[in-house]
Amino acid sequence: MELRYLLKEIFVDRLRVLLTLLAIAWGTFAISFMLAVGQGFLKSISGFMSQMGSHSMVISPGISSMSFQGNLAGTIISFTPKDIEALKHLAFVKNLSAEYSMQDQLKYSSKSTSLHISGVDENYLALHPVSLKTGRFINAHDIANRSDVIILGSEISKALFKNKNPVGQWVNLGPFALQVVGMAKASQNQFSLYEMPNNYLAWLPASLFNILYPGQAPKFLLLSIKGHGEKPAQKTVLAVLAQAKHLDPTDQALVKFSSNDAALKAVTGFFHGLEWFLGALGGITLLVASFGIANMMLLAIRRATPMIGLRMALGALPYQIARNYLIEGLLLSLVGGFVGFLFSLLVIKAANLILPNINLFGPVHLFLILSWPLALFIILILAVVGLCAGIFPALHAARIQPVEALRHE
Amino acid sequence: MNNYPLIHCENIYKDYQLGQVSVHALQDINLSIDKGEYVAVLGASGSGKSTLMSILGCLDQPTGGHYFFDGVDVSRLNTKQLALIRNQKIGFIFQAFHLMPYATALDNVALPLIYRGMKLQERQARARIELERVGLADRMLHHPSELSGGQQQRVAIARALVTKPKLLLADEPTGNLDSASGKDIMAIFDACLKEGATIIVVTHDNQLAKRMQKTLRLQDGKLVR
Repeated sequence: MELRYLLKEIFVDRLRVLLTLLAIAWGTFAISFMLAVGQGFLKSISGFMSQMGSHSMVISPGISSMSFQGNLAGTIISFTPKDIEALKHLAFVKNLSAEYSMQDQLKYSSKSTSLHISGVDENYLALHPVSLKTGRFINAHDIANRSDVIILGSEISKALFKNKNPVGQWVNLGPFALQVVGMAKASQNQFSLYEMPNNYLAWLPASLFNILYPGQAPKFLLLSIKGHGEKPAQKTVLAVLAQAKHLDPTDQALVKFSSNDAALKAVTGFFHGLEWFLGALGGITLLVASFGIANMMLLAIRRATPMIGLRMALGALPYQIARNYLIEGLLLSLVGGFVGFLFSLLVIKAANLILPNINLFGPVHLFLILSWPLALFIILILAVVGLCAGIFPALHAARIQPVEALRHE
Repeated sequence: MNNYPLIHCENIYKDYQLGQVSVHALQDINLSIDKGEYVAVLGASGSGKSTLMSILGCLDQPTGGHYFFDGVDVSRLNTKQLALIRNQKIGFIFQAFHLMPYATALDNVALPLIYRGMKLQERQARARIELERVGLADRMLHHPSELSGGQQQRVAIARALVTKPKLLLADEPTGNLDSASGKDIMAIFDACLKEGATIIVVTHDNQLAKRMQKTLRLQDGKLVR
């Protein structure tokens, strides 16, 4: 019964109560929405990255920085087929592919277009994203037999064949005739490792590339590892390459490793940071709102001082008075929080309906998650906010003396 | 029946510190009030009436001397024990009524019983009896704003009586009322006296004081004969 009257006491100032509840609701909305964005995006991105094959790395050639066994510092590294063979035999290497690159002209009857040609191995698709629209990619048979096949990017196909299906057609690369066996999907997000859009590329078997463009070294090596840590794997790869070239195996400048895992970690770190930042913003809003509750309750207590004195005169103990105001603070913050939380649920639901239809981040399918642990965490925060808001007014009320009941208004 | 007085004050002093100045609100008060007595405390404003009432009502403690209430030295009790005495043995009636504006007459009367941990039904049953006794059987579910001044004071009296106190302490109970309502209140007090209650009325109304058996006159914090 008591609490009911306390709430009525505070609701005398309806506008103030409303604004304070609104602030609490907004703070809660900010926290839960932002955390849902953080969690959802993190999950979307990391899902996408793992689909891309984590534990894969790209190795690019560098320049030696130390002299070793007569080789001076400044030796330019280039990968050779022998290096690739040596690496293929390492136990932890799951898939390996070279990527060669060359700019050239491709012709079909009277039409011609310039393009980048990538020479790759049959494992390339397992290591790097190329989405096919029709036909197939390079297979082991092509590599072994140096098959005269080519896979076209969408824009290349358009330039030569307009909207016709190119698969089965023969195109000319200098004096060589190659059969088109596949065509890649048009994509704004897929690039070669040398950052050329897939749309403007064509892919050949690496073995054929070596014949067409003799003396070219691979621009990159791609490999994925199994049952082995990333760092020790890199160390072994470095040692193998250094040994083959008679260079210092401890020279980190020989090759550059960039790994998918590292990228994932960076993205994850970014989103964790974002989550914390946005959460902190919401937290500050809640903190300010809790000052609002405390201030509102202190005002109500000031107005009700003779009434509190009266209750004490009638036998209420200070702790009973304090307890009521504490519960009141808690109640106000939970009510405001509940409203904010419901609102955030609605917005998250709506966002999850809309987001799949917006191709904002290409193949990364974004969604928001408000998990149960998150909801519990928010309730906990609100409880703390409520207690913090209530404790000062409660202690203030408990210090009121029963003699106050004798003061005339 | 115990033969000690309900109220016994020995050399009571009450000082307030106002900045550097010490104000002697009460000085060397000695008095005894027996059970069943009807006592007026008279004095001009600032004479220490309210201070005396707050000490007699166990709302405050003296800075010197001893105050025995119902045989217990109240000056030695802690906050919790004082609250218990107020709840169980003393009924307060204030000049400004001090009713909760948001609560019905019934809930206002039942309020002190909450602090006894009494169940809702019993609280309301007891409150009903007291409201009927002060003639407000048909106003139980009204809020204070819907009642006249006299009716509000009767609600306050019902609230004071609901705990069956040994002492009724009234601070200017008719100060805010017209003479007809004042008479009603006095009639209720007379009925309580017949049932054995002890009543102390703080007032500056000499006419009112004449109705009572004993008059204590305060001047500058001292009792005068």
